[in-house]
Amino acid sequence: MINSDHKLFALILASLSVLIWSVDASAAEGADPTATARKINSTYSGIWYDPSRDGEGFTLVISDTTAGPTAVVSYYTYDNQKQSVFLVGSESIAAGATSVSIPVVITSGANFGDGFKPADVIRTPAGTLTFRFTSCNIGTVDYDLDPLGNGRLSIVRLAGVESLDCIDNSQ
Amino acid sequence: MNPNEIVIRHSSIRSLYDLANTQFRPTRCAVAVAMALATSVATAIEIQVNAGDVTVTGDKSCSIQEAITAANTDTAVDTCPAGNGPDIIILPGNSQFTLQNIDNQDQQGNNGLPTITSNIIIRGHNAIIKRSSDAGTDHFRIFRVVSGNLRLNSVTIENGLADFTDNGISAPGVYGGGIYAFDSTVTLISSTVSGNTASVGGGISSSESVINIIESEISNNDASGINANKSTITIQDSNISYNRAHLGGGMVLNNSTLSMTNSTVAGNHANTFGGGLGGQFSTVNIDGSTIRDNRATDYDGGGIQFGGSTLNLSTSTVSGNNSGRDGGGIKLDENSQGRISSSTISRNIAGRGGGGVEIWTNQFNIANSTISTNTASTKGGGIASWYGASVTLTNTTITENSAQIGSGAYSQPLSSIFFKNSIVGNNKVGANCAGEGTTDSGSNVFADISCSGITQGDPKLGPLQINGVASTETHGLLSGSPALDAGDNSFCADNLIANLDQRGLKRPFDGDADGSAICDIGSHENHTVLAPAEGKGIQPAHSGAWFDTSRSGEGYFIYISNNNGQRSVTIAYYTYDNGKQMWVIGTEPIASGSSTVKVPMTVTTGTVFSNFDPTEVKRANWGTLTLTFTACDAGTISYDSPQFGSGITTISRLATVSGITCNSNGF
Repeated sequence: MINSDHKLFALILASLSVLIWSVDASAAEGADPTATARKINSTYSGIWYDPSRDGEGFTLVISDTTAGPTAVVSYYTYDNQKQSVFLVGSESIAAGATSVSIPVVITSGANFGDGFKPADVIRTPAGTLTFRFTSCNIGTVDYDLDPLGNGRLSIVRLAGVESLDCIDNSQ
Repeated sequence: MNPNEIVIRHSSIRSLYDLANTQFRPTRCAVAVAMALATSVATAIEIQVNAGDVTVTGDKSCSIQEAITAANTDTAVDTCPAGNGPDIIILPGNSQFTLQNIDNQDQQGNNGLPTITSNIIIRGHNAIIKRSSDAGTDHFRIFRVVSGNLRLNSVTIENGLADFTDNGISAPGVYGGGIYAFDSTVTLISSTVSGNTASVGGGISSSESVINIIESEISNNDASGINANKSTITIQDSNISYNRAHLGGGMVLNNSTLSMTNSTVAGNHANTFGGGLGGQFSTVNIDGSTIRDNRATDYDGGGIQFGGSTLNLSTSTVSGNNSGRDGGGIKLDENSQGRISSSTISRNIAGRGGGGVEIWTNQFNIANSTISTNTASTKGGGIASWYGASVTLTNTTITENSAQIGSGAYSQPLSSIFFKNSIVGNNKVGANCAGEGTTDSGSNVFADISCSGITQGDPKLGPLQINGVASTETHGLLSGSPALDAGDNSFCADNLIANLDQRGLKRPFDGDADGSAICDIGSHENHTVLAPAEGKGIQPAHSGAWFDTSRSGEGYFIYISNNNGQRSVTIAYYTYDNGKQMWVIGTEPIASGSSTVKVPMTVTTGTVFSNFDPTEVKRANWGTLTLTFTACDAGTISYDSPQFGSGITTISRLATVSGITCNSNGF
């Protein structure tokens, strides 16, 4: 399951060093506030991004755990000082839920490679990301992040998982 | 009627059979019928009828009516010699007997010929016996058989008409336009019953009788080719075609038993239920036959519809049938049971649910069968299960069907469909399964998570076709199919499978040449060696969140995708640089079957969150990550970066993507 813009994906395959993520025409649909949100299931696992914000994105894994279905998310982006940042978190998904609000943390303090020590990692709560999906390839993220602020992003799917075709559970 | 009474009453049939059927090619069924009826020998009288003679006026010529009377009464009539017990009436080759008038009338209405009340064989030599088609001809059926035994050999019966009116005068005769049988045995061999009409049983109406149809044709009758009540019907090597009825276009059964082999039921039409075959409280055994292109216009069961009955369908094809409502191919109503084995249900269309099969019943088994290319408008493109039905599918392939909801299988919440060694994949429009009653009972290939919550991926099936041996159509397995050598051999040993595939070829066969013969999943056992499914390479189930358990706070999101047949990996790596976060991302195609992939990684910088400007984003080469999976849940990642050097970590799963599992033949 790939973003419908195959040319885009081919370009990614060809060379990430010259990666240019073009705007997906279908993204406009993602902004439709009247679209009915779908029940969230594992087929929404994948990489998602807002085409108007090429250069950042979300990774989402929907996983069954002993606590029930759980969403594991990362948001890779930048802070207001142009520093690369990532926010990570997980949250259980209520049965039949059409949205999930995931508390995320931002980390700091560690080093690369052999210099990495787990004890150096400082985890700081950084707010929530709320996901909704209105079709297999379109959704929204409401972010409420400290200190980055709040707002809504219209996201489209960049990549999914082979053989895990999206199923419309709203029927 | 006690069948044994027939054997005693008509105990001389075998000798007559031997004398009378020089052109008849004995078949298993015919021999069985003959042996069942035969014990002793009697002297057969041959009564020769003059060509086309239908006069009953003592004209010194033996007519067909006079011959029947002579045989019934064992007295000479006109020039017909007296019969003697069982008799043979011989018609001249290719002669035509056109009946103009009513011969007699009784409580069943008008008859064109004297009622058969004894044992009579009519050797027709391709003769035609028909009611005149002249305008104004009286309404009458051709044959009425009561407590008799009639065998027709190479005879065509046409244009009989039994209905409520006889030229405007009310008449009680509504049964059997061609033949009406009560408390009798009627056997057709190489004969045709065509173009007859009655209110009930246009071709043949049978009540408390035994009807044997061998190498014969029942066609273009109205209503129904055969109507059976409390009767036993045997059909072999015959065609039931283009008949019409309100219910049961080709045949309608009530409290009866049908055994049909090597026959075709085609092009029949019912207004309501059972375009080809329909009825209730009956046992229906169909083997080696084709039920095709029948239609039930308004309601259910384009090919077959029964209620309160047992249906056993084997080595047969049900194809191209059409229903206005449910069960394009087959509809079984309440209190029915039975099985479908080694059969193909294909290209049927339902106006509502159950494109191939719809079951409302107690218990039903489908084994070694293919349900393909059927269409339902709403639920259950291949199969639908309703109202407490419990349907078990073993080594069955459900593919290329279509429906809005449950394109392969729909099980209403109060009913169940259990899958064993079966394939449900590549069905169209809705998800492969829907409803709440589909259950994974082991060793299946589901192409999405809708059937059981997990998927084994694309089943990789060939087209629906005759594969190698003359049999029903199947879908072969293509190279890399996850169904190849992946079944449960104990299921293949079940009674309905008996270690054979749908085509009758032995299973299991070692299809991946790994030295271990394992049943293929689905109805078709590949008998050529193909590449093993997935190998030990990277597979979709490796998608998820991963980390090195000794490096909590750092991690990887990995996605295995497929675009136009090319499997690729996309990986995001979250780590640190001098106390600050750093993420890098990359994607790369995966060589077929490879368990390792080197991914060029990109690092980006340059814009701010609150006033995000994509044009400011600068992308630079970071280096490479090389992923190597050593198991479904284990692997290593080595990095090689001009800026950061090189190293290797061992990764474990942090989170698995639900609904997808590692292939059993892989890791």
